[in-house]
Amino acid sequence: MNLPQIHLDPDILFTVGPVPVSNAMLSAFFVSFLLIVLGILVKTRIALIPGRLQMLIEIIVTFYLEKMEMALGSEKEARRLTPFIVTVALIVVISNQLTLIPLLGSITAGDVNLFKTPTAHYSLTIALTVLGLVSVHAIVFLKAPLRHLGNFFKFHLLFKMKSIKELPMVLIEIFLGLMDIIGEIAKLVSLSTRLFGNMFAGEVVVLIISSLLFATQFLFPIPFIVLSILSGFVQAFVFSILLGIFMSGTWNGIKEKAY
Amino acid sequence: MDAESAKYIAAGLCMGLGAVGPGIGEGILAARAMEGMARNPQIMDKIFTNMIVGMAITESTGIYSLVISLIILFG
Repeated sequence: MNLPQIHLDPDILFTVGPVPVSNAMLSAFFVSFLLIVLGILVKTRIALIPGRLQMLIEIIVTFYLEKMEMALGSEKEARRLTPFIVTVALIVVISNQLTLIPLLGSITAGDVNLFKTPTAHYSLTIALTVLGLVSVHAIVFLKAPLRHLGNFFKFHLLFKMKSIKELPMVLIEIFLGLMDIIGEIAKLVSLSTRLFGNMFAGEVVVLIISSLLFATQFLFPIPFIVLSILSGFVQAFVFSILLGIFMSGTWNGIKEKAY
Repeated sequence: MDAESAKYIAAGLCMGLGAVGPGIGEGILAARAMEGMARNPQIMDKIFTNMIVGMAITESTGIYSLVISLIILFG
């Protein structure tokens, strides 16, 4: 059995100065182009009585708005975070299904495919995650620096103690606060790895099945392609919802505690 | 044993052992979600959405081992 040539890094098409342009990057640009066209289409045809496209977009936006409202507590704050979450969701869902466009996967330059699923490359997923999590940390830090740092370095609890009997609990609190820093990094890694792993595995499974025997090239990959389409939608949904939950968790950290 | 065969054994072991936990976890999650849906069909949509999110979190250790075995094989 000869395995097909599978590698994690994408093929490089050409270089612009010091920046190598890979096929994953080119398809990511293509996805953003598609999204801009979609935005212009929806924006110019907006009407009181919605058409089909506007209806679809409105359903998506309302769904995420409700979810963010549940996570954040008020509609005003939800309206500030929802545009970013919906943009991420649209980017991920279009990039996951990009290779479903007929004939797009068979355009080649030399022996390199011109288009490839952008989310099956680690850079895009980690870029989206870093953009979301780091920007929300920066916003929260600028709004209330001391309170935000106090969520991780809980040394102020030492001064709030009423008796020496509370010392073990306070020490545990401080230790858990320091562990939260590792938790933030783990969020970043797990969120980006999940999307990348799912999309890359979908590609690899189809490749391996179709290269097993001569006969398995034709009908056998179909169930696996269907599965990877399904997991593309599910992972796009999960990625955006989890990003929203993590971001609103950090956002809620600087609010007054209820108790 | 040469390095090449050790690589294949490591990748297989990594994926096989890593799939045990998520399998059990997702089974429990789906069973409990089904119970909840059968008991209260009106909030089926909410339970289903939350089940999908919970499954994605449960799945993450499986995805870690998948990525590690992919890196071992092709990286």
